[in-house]
Parts: sequence; structure tokens; C-alpha cells
Amino acid sequence: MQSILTILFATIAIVAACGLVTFRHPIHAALSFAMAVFATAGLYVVLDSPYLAAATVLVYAGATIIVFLFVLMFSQQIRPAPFESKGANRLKIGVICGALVGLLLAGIDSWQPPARIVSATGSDITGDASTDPRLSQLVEGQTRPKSTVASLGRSMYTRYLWAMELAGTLLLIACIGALCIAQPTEAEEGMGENRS
Amino acid sequence: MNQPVLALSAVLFALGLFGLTTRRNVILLFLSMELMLVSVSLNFAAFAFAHQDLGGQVFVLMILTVAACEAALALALVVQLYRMRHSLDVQLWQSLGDPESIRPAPIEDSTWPREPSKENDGPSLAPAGRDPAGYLASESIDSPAAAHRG
Repeated sequence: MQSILTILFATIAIVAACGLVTFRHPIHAALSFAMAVFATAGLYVVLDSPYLAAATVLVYAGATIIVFLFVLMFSQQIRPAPFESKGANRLKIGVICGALVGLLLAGIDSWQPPARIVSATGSDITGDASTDPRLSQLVEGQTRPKSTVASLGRSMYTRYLWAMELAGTLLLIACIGALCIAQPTEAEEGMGENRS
Repeated sequence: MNQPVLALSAVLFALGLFGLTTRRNVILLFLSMELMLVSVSLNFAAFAFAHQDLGGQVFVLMILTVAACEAALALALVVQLYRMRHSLDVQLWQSLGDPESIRPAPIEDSTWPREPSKENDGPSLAPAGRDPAGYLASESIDSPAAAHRG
């Protein structure tokens, strides 16, 4: 069941990402990005992190896409900007990106999941329980710790407290910076095109 | 069941990279960048699941925060770009480049970049001072140098 869901969401995500890269109209691209984000959120649920799914949908598919659409409508163009970057060789870049995917896939193929991945019943442990004390704990019948919102929050505000505070400060600074950047100066309001 | 997710995030990352390098519309560039961020955070979640460690999930939340900051700043910049040039074309936003390599093309010019001329196809240093050849002032309508002189 889980692998079926994984394949399904992965297919949706890849199709949506291809749409994002190929659609000419930015609004279509933004909507297919939202689709890819929804598929990713489904994968988060499969990966046992429901809070991340909710946060991703809220932040990406909600806030970011809305702001993107808002900016798109704010900057209505008489002529749409050229689609392709003319200096870029699309074939060359495609080959480079394909090589990157191949390299990453080769790396993934040789990666072995750690022995602590067990099914929820703890029945199919493949590692050596005698060498890994944590694994032996699992063997002794402890169930895998369920990742809940409460445990995530506890870890966020104890072990990663400073990182969270820094992230909050960064968000505040970015908000102020965005306000300052986007504010029109008086000269721009008057003349439109010229810089002040 | 982790490896399909890792493979998916590799593919998404490559697609985002492709979009980032070949597109010319700023909005599409930022969407591709967000796609790359999504793929990386998917990777973090997959490893958090594999190792049963919540650090990966916390890191995804960090990435979300940074992505939100980036989107706010980037869209403010897009608004400014649109105000100055009335287009969303990134290649009109080159005022900080080497003046000899800047050939501000009109928006409808489809032959960008122009063929490099023979005398100036190697790398060169940016001339110091204000625009010695009067190049920017003569050729571009809305470059900063022209605006300052006028």
C-alpha cells in the first residue's frame, strides 16, 4: 500500500515538475508547482511526518503561490517576456542535468538503508542485533517511536531551539527587507520609468 | 521504500536546475528554485524517516522558513524590476556586469546574444570610472548611467 502511494505521488510530482519547466505561461507554471507541492505533501504523509505535510501545503501551496500569483497580476505585461534564455544551449544543459540525475541515482542505488528500518511490527530486522545496541532494543520488543507533532515540537524547542529562534529572526528581517525594497520612492511614483 | 523517494527528489532537483538555467522569465526562475528547495527537503524527510531521527524534520522546517524569506525578498525584487524595466526578462537586469559585455537588447529582440565582434571576444576588465566610451549613454535608453547623465 505504502509503495503504491509512493509511486503514485512520485508520478504526480514528476509530471507536475515537467509541466513547471515546460509551460510557457507563468500562471500555469505556478499552478503546476502547487500540484508538485501537493504530491510532495502526500509523500511526507507516507514518510510518517504529517506535520511537514501540513506546513508545506500551508507555506508553499498557500502563501508562496498566492504571492506569486499576486505579483504576476500586479506586473501585467504588454508583451510576455521571452521564454527561452537565448544564450543557453538547451541540449547541453539537458545532458548535464541528465548526467546529474544518473550520478545521483547511482549513488542512491548503492545506498543501503540503515538496519534500524523495520516494519511497524519489528519482524523483518535485517541488521545484526548483537553489534548495534539500538537495534537490540528494537529486538527486545520496543516499538518504533512514532513521530508525532508533539515529539517534533519538543525536539524543535529543546534541542534545536537556537536554530528555530534564528529562523524566526531571519523571517522578520526578510519581511522588513521586502517592505523596504518594494516601497516606491517618490521619484518612481512620479516618473514611473526613471530611477530616483 | 526510501529509495523511490530519493530518486524522485534527484529528478525534481535536476528538473529545477534545468528550468533555472534555461528560462528567462524571473517568475519561472524563482519557481524552479523553489522546486529545487522542495526536492532537497523531500530528501531530508526521507532520511529522517530512515534514521528515525527528528532532526531531519526540523531541518525541513528551517528550509521552509528560508524559502519563505527568499520568496518574499525575490518577489519584492521582481516588483522593482518590473517598475524599472516594464518587463520580467532577467536579461534586462545586467547593470552590474562588465560594460563591454552589456549590450542591452530591446525586449522584442529575438537574436540575443548578438554575435561577438572580432576585436572583443576575449575576457576583459571592466574599465574604471564612468563609462569611458560613452557606450551605455549612447546605446541604452534606461541604463543607470544614462539616467544619471540626463
